[in-house]
Amino acid sequence: MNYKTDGDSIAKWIKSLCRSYEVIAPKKEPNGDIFYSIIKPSDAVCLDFAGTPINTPKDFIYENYKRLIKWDFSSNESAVETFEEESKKRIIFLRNCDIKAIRLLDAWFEQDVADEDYKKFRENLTLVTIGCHLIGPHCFCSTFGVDPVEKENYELQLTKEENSYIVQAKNLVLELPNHLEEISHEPKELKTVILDPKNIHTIYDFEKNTELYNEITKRCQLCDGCTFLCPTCTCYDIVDHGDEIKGERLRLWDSCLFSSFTKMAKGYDPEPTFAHSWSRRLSCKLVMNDRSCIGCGRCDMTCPSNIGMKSILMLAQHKDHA
Amino acid sequence: MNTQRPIPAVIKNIEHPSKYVKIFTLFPKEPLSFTPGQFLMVSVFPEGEAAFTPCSCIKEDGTFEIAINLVGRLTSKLHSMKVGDIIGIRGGYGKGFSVQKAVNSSSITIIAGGIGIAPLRFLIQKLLAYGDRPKINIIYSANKASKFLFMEDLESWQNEKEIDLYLAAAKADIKWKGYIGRSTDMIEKLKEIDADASFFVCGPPPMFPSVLEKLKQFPVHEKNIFFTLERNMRCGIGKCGHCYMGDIRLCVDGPVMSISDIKKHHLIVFRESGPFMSRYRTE
Repeated sequence: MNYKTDGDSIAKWIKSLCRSYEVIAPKKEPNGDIFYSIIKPSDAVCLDFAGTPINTPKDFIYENYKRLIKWDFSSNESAVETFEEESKKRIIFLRNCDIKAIRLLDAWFEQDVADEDYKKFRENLTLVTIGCHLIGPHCFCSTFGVDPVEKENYELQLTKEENSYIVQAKNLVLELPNHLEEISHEPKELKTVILDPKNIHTIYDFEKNTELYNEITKRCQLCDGCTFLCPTCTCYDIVDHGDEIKGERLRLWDSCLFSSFTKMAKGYDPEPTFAHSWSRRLSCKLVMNDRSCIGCGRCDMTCPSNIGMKSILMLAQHKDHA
Repeated sequence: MNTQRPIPAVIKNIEHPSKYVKIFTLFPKEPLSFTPGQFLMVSVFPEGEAAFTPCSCIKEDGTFEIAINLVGRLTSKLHSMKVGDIIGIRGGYGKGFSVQKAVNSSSITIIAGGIGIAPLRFLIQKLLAYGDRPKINIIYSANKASKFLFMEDLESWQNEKEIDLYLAAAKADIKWKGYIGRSTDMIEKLKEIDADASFFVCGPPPMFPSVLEKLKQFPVHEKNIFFTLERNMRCGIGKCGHCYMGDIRLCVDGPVMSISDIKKHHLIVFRESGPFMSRYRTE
């Protein structure tokens, strides 16, 4: 069912949700940047912006510096323990591309040996889609079949239209805002730019794409902003913090571009060059596992030398026509 | 429950059979299970975790053995530990050797290089428990004669029926009376290998291409040749991404893989590179 309501009742509604849930939603920083943040009842949620917020929902769902275990061998009862986390009910307001990213994370963490902590967290999480009414400068989600405004696969979707909001509810998991006016039309359909280079299925092969890889390896500064801001990058490292008697083990985000990523003890690296690691990144994002790139464009936003995924696809496409 | 919680294990005994290898007897304080070829994540607090393959089954007293080669930060810390110290263990992870497949084959050949004997010793122990097993050929090579491990086991295997032992040391020392050379030389001496024979290979990665080349002289099926591959492993449960090889994750799809699987996924088992070759721009 589709409804229409004004911005005020949306704001009041989110405020009322804060009482029974932890709400995560886009919020405007003093300098105008949009970030996904945990919303306090006094905060104003910002739903009127183009493109995606700067950070990713990964910050909340798959946190960096997560404590995995602690050990304490000071007494006779030597103990290795896990951290018990309280499970809170959460609601998260996300762009459609980020929802697709969470569905990919679900598949990743639940395959083979399921990550129990993730599963528990996810069971208590409600997703609300924020449909796009403006396309951001780096967006290219239509390339991967993601719609800026979701047509089917949502529970609750809010889309701005002129001065009001269209509320689309499928499964009534939440109570809806007040002052709803029933409408019959759908939100306006949007499409971003669609990039489709011919050689996308062999893009990981750096021997066939030497020109492209020369360009990438020349430009990349190894800052790893692209992997840390990618909503579907899940690689992590495990680091111990403490001494023999007492300490904690942390899970840190890692990047396949880092030089030590595959290096083994004694120094042998099975993926020895920079082209190998970029080949891995491109195959993971664009070829393998049904393409884990969702076209949010955050890597293009952060990249100091213009080789985010969109730029790489544009480079490849340019090569097709050259 | 966190899936990455290690079980505390007490070091019950330490053997020092060669200069860089120590064999630890461990007693896990909670139940643990693994099959030959599966790996365990061993935690040395506070140095972190690394993957090792046990070299024996869990015995009646609850202990098992693990052979540790001294190569880096974690293993040097482990080598400095004493009896009674506590380390952490979780596992077993990955796909191990298929013992049933080995027993059903026409003959079994074990090819071990250096520390690669560790998981294969566990496999041999399992195979010896079967009364109607086929003939076992064991090819074991080391850089130096003084680096051979499990000498007592080798002697007892020699006395078993239907076992042929081929030892090769690349460099001899005074006591060594056996063959001087590589494991690939010993492959040529194998007899009566037919299409249903099975091969289990574990050793340093540079050994794989030369072994594979030598095995081409036999009519054996590629799906019956198993290699134990290795990568930098961090989580052991297929989540952290460190052990990728092509489109597989070795900790879930390996570490034991048949040649036909390796070819199916276009995996490169060994790549020539200098020990500290940089990932940064070299040209």
